[in-house]
Formats: sequence, C-alpha cells, structure tokens
Amino acid sequence: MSLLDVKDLSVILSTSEGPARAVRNLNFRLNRGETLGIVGESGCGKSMAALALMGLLPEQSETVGEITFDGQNLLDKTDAEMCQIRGNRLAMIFQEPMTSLNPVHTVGHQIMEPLRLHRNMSDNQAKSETIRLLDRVGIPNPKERVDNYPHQLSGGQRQRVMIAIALSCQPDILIADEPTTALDVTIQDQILELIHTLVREEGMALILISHDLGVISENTDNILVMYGGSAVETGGTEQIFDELIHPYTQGLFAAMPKLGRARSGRLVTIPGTVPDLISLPSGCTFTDRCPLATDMCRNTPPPAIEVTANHFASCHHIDAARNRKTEELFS
Amino acid sequence: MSEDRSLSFVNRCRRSRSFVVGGVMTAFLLMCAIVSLFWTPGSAYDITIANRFLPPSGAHWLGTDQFGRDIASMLMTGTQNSIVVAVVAVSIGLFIGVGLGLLAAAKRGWTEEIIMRFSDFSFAFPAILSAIMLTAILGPGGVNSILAIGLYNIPVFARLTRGSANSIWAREFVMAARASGKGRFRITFEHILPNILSIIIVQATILFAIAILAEAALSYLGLGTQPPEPSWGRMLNEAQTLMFLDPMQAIYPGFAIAIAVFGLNLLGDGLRDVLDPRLSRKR
Repeated sequence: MSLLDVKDLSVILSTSEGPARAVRNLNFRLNRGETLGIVGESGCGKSMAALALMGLLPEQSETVGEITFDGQNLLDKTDAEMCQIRGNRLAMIFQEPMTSLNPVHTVGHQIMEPLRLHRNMSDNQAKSETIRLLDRVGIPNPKERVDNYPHQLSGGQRQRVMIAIALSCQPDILIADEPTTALDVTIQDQILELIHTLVREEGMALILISHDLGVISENTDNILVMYGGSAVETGGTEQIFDELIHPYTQGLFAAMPKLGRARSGRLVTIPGTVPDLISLPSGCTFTDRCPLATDMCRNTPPPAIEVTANHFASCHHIDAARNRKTEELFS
Repeated sequence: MSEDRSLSFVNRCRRSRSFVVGGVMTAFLLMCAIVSLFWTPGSAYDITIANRFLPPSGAHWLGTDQFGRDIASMLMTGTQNSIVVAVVAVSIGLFIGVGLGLLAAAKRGWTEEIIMRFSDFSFAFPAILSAIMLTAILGPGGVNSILAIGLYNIPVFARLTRGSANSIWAREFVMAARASGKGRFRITFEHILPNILSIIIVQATILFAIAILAEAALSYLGLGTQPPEPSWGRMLNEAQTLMFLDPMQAIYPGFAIAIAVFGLNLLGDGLRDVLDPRLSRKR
C-alpha cells in the first residue's frame, strides 16, 4: 500500500463570480522515500493541491475525493486531528522565506515549538535538538543563531530555518511549494541540494512543486504535469524527459530557454493564456490553446492513456501528438 | 544581545519628544495621586465655613472653596479618583474587548458576525448618552460610572483587535504555523497577540485619556463620584455658580483635566513612535 494515495481529488473554490475548480480529478500515489515533482505554470492548481493535502485550504472552498495517508482518509479528519498530523507527519515548506517566520519570536523559539507540541520535549531537550537541527541545515554558529530574530538572517538562511522547522518532527512526507523561487540562483542550488540530501537521509517522501523544469528534473523520481487544475501527463522523470507526449508538456519544455541554442531564433510560446478556472471547458482544459484540439476535446474529458509502463498522458490525440515534432506544434 | 535591544529601546524613547513630554505629565499626575494617599497640604474633606474663599497662601496653595476646603488637596485627591476609574474602566474594555476581538478573528463565520454586529450596534449610541442612561438605571456612583465607561470601551477594543488580528491571520507565517500543526487557540496567543500588542497598548493609553474625560463629565452631571469624595468633574460643577465670584475655582480643575488628557494623548502618540519598528527603522 502506498504511503499517500490521492484519488479523484477536486478542489472547488467559491468566488464572487461562481465556483472555480482549482483542482479537478487529480490522482497520484507516493511511496515512502519517493520524490514526486508537480510542475505547471502559475495558476494551474499546484499550490491548491498541496494545501488540500495539508487541509489548509481557505474556508470558502470544498474538497472532494480521497486523500489516503497511511491508510486513513485525511478528508474525514476533524481540524483537531489534522493538527496532530500537520507538522508531525506531513510538513510543508513555503515559497516566501522572508515572510514565513514570525518577526516577534527568535528562530530558535520557532523551531522548538513543533518539538514541544508534537514530541512533548522539555525546554532543554528542545533547545539542544534545535541547535542540532540548525547545524543539520547548514547554518553556521547554531548556538548563537538560535537566539537570532528572523530579520537578522538572510533569505537563504531563513529558508534553511523553515526547512529545519519542517524537518523537526521527522515527517513522513515533506511538501515543498516552490521552495527556491524567492531566492538567488546561487542559493537555489544549495537549498535544493540540502532538501535532496535530507530527504534521502531521513527516508522521507518529497513532493516538490515548481514551475522550473530544471529543478524538477534534477530532484524527482516521478513527475506530474498539471494544467488548468488537472493532471495532463504523469510518469517517471526519465520517461517524460525521454518522450514528451501531451501537447502542453511539449509546449512547456519548448518554452524553456536552452544553452547552446542561443540566437537561433525566438523562444517558443504557447499561444493564449491560462484558462479562467470558472469557465473551463468541460472536456480537456487545454483545448483553447492546443494546436490539435477538436470538438471532441472540448466536450469529453480525455482518459489517461498508458503510453509506456507507468507513463500516462491525458489526450484524445496521443498518436498525432507523438508523431509531430514540438516545432511543428507550436510555430 | 538583549542589552543592545533595551538600549535602542531607551534611545528611541528619548528621541520621541511627545513620549518624553507626555511621560513627564503622566508621571506628575501619578505622583500627585500617590502622594495624596499619605499627605496633602490641607484637608480635602473638612468643611470650615470661616475659611471660605481664601486666596492662595502658604497654608492653602491654591486657596479654598466656598466650604473652606483646600483646593490643592482636593485636586490631588481627585487625581486618585480619576486614575482608579480610568484604570478599571480601560481594563474592563481591554480584557473583554481584546478577548472578543481575538475570538472573532480566530473563529470567523458566525461568531465573528455576531460579535462585530453587536459592537456596531453599541457604537450606534452616543457614548456619553449610554453612560448617562446606565447610571440613571443603576443609580449614580463611582462604581457604576466605571462600569458605564468600561462597557463603552469593549466594542472599541473589540473592533481594533479583530481588524488588526485579521490582517495578521492573513500573513504567511501564520500559514506556516498552521502547517506545523498549531491550533487556532495556540496561534492566537503565540503569533497574533504579540504582533498586535503595540497597537493595543497605544489604543489603551488614548482610551485612558477619554475615560478620565468621561468620568469628569459624569461627575459634572452628578452621576459619577458622590460627595464628599473630591472629583475634578464635580469641582467644575460646584464652581459653575461661582464663575464671576471666584473664576479660579473652575480654572484649576479644568486645568487638571486638560493636563491629564493632553499628557496621556502625547504619551500614546509617543508610544506609537517607540513601539512601531517600521517607523523607527527609517530614522
């Protein structure tokens, strides 16, 4: 049995213009020690899916489906029960390290909190564990840094502190929602390397959310490509990088600048913009921007077709998409 | 580390002129109240008709009133009364109001609706009128005027707290705290309250001044502190009939009220400068 099994997960946000389906019928599994990358452009529902897992969605929203974590459906849990799981067995790192720490408490205090909360540690135990954690995430002079306030640390150091908080209770699953987007490129690499190492050493499962394909390719075993709230392509990282199938995935990869191809022409863009989540087509969400779209695409949701073992793509025109080069699709 | 912080705190206090001036004025009032507990230049209670309307002298610093009581002593003793009323009334508003505001922000939904509509409702009545109504029902007296002023303070604090607490709830570090498994109650006291404390302190200082003013108004109308306890408001009232005979009798208590209110307002303003790190960083 998988550690995490998400079945038909949908998130419906009620907005002033009507219900918006931020996530629709998402399915994936995650085993212990596995890493999953969720990739897609802004507004495709990546973060909403992550928040749904944590049970932290805004109040004006509805979550349907099943999130089975260690044999229990998280959607059936009360808020008090979720508090026992959050931070303890499921932990999350956020995008913005500059604002994710409370300015009025020392970083040590903020790392000690989950330890006292979930582990019932005494102040002394929590303090020495905190120093160990700070050392673990690569902060120099952890004994002095414990008493620092967040404004005394740099962005990279604050993200390290956030990682220390997330790791404090040795969670089963770590969810990292664009953990390096707000950081310098040089720091990005260090932070990802740190997350990667810690996840491997602690045997945790990782869900890494990013719009950066480079980040995803280097750090994950499996990939889930999202568009308009639904998964368009899933599979092993190597499989997907070997053969891109779904027109959206192809467009996404083609839109990435590549070294050595400079000056040879303009970057490929996918025409159109991200669809309005309130008025999505009832079929494939990519219909309006897809060069292969037909009437069938608009009205019938495409089934997930297994192209090679464990590599699924949701498209009505898989063969056409496979047989064309990306340059022909988007030109 | 902590020495650094306290040093910069003292420096910031010194640099804020309104904090220093307001602090000195408030400290002066506080001193008057404390000294009057043990000693007053004359008697604020003894009626000696033979000594009425004496001009200021060594024995009677500010002269005497129409019953021969020492005005300086009455003012000093009246300070006690004003401070006690203001402290208790503001505390009532502070604890209940802040509690309700935090609850509204933490629970949202119906709880918030009910608490906030209820404070809107009580705001619809002019404060002094509802205080008069309350003392009219419960009967005049010091305790009832405290209660009336305290009740008025509750929605003021509730609104302020809920508004600022909501803006903190929307911050990312609260989301991060929730992600680490903290419940609403815990987040409220660990993350929300410390971040809005300075706003509440400033508001309390300013409401303190308003409470002193309100107490004086109620006493002036005969609904607050009852004789023979001296009170600034009632001194004003008694001096009213003697405006042309001895105007100083009205000017002294009026001046005392003005100093108290002005000093506390300055202090509140200064505290805002001192406690708000966003403003101080610019200097």
